[in-house]
Amino acid sequence: MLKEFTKGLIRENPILVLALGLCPTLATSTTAYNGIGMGIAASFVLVMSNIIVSAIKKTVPSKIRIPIFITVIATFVTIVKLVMAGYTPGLSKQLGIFIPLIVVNCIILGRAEAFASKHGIWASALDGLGMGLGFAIVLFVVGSVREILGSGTITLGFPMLINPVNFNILGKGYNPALLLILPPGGFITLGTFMWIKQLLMKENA
Amino acid sequence: MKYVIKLGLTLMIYAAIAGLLLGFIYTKTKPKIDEQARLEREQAIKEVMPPGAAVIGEDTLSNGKIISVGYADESKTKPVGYAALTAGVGFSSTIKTMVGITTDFKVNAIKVISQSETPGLGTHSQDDWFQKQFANKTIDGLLVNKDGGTIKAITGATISSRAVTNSIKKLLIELKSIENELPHYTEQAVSDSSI
Repeated sequence: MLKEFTKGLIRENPILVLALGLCPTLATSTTAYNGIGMGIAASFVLVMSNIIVSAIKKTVPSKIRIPIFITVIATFVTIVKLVMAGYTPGLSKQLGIFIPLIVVNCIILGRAEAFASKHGIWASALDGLGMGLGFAIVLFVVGSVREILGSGTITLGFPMLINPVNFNILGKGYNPALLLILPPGGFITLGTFMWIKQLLMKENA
Repeated sequence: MKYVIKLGLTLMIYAAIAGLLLGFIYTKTKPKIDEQARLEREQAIKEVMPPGAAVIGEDTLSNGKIISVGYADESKTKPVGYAALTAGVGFSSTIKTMVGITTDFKVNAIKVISQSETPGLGTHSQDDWFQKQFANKTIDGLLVNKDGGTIKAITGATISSRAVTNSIKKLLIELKSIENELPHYTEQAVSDSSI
């Protein structure tokens, strides 16, 4: 059972290995704080939708399973959106359209279709948690690298619990590599991490 | 046919449950969301209002624009300045700015309150150095340096800088054109308050 949880972290990491949900990854990983926020929001939706999809899988006729899964996912996304707007207005503004767009994040529908609709509730919850954490970790790491090199700062905090604090770690004299904050920098950073992952995998095999 | 109806009904039941749940969450979070919006607005008004404003009132002008007026005294007779929201279309979003204006139509301070411009470029419109440039600018001074003005545009984000600058200019011109509608420091008011 534990395997369902750990596989999402590295071996079947949704971004680095499955390469799902790249659009929100690239768009929201401009700062570490945004990465954590997006990661937590997506993880919550992923766990909840996996649980519900797994629980209702027997009552869903296979011909309309996709619209029903999307209804379930959209419900949780809207809940996240409302809660964020009320409790972390800054983060909700920064992430903007990417919160509602979690609905069409392929990781979430992908897990509902490929895993939750075929497995039990506990396994599905663990799968969602693992995949969500894998997603969040990559977002945080990519966001940190892009922020440190691209703006010379790092913004840390835990959404909804700790307000973000901005550390100017590379000092005032640092001339930021703007490219890393812009979309091409997202591709380059993410590509580098995928490459590192492949190198490490080979050594293990 | 029967099968199609069954599918439709199943989908309807799921959608109805989802709708009910969302309605419940919405009513629970709405007060909090409204509260956040109000706090943010009040905070911005306070920050940009010219110094000496003890009481802040609100006025709706004939063109439907809502402005906040800062008064030096409780009886609201000595206005020290105004604050109003303005918006301009930037590179990838509408940039909303709260502008504080003195009674002689100079900018006191501005605060960009919402934007989603390019991170690392247009987002610098919320930086202090950029917003501080607007202090004491008159209508004529409100142009970015590329257009021959004195506002230093953000490197790589001229469009965002121009959107902010021009939206403030537009607001000032608009307010100036209906100058007599704005609450003023008048002799009448002074004698009233001295009684």
